[in-house]
Amino acid sequence: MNEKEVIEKIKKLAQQDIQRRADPRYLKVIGFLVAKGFLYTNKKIPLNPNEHLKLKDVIWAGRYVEPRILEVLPAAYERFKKHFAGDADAIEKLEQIIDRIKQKDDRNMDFYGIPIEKVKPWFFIRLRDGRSKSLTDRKVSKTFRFKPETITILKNLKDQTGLSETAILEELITNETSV
Amino acid sequence: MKKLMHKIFSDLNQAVELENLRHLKEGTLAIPKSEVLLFGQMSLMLNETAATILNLIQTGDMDAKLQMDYFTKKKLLGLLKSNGLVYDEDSHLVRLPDNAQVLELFKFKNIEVKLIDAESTLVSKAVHAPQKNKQLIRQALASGKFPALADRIVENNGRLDLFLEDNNE
Repeated sequence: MNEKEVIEKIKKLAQQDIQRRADPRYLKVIGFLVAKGFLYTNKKIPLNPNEHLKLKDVIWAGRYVEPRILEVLPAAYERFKKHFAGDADAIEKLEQIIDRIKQKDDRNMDFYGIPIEKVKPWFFIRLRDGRSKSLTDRKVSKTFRFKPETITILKNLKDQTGLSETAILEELITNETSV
Repeated sequence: MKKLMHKIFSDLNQAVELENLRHLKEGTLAIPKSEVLLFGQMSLMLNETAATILNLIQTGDMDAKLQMDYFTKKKLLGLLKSNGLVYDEDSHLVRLPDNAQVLELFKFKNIEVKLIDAESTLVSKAVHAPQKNKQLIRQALASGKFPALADRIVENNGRLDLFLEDNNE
């Protein structure tokens, strides 16, 4: 096949790409990921921050229309699990890569051909909604048993400063460790 | 995206300006002028001609060559982070094709922001990351708006036949 024939075939495939970009499955997925702040686009699209997505549609859109969808999918799934539904196989693949990232395991792994290092940064970004927390900003619950007088002091500090008990303790610890 | 990037670099310029005032009071040297050269998907997104022709999707990744001191880079990384963006520290690995042109984007007192021309960015993507950019390159070739694109991909040791691959559904 000469270069001219190759270009002609590429043009035909580009027509198919146009149809795929108009597919409702793609529009739903991209509308959700752009609305949440995982992706950016230069064209106006309907934004659907409350959309519920089938994982098989997301993976289809990533494989056939826009590979960057697969790059952000594990982070999007981890932050917004309730928005996704899918079969055990797809969920297992996602959970595997999420565990690897949470455990800071640097061994090679890919997600539908996307290397783990390309997937990782999107777990730590600040999203548009300002509500969902990244892995580094998320609070972890921990239980302590204090003496009653310590509790009284903590409550007094809370009343005096207007800060939460957690914020008071965090500030004390931060000041202690920064000396 | 252009509005957001303008805001980020404008804030950065302001932060450098304030720091320079402090340096002046202390009698220390001013921070040298910085230069940012954007490439990758962000340079396409910020290029008005390319953005009109192509359907672009990008992550919050910013590929760029940064010429700036420690203070300015630290401030820039902070501004990107607070806006949901990330600087790709592997940006130095991006290889640009011969004859790439540099275009001016924003010019502030303390920072100049430039970008690589759209066709050269597309050549780089086609040669170094064809799988990830298959649909984008097909659209660019089919548009006829980048007349030298196919030849430049081949000249830079890229393979046009890779864009014929389609994962059949």
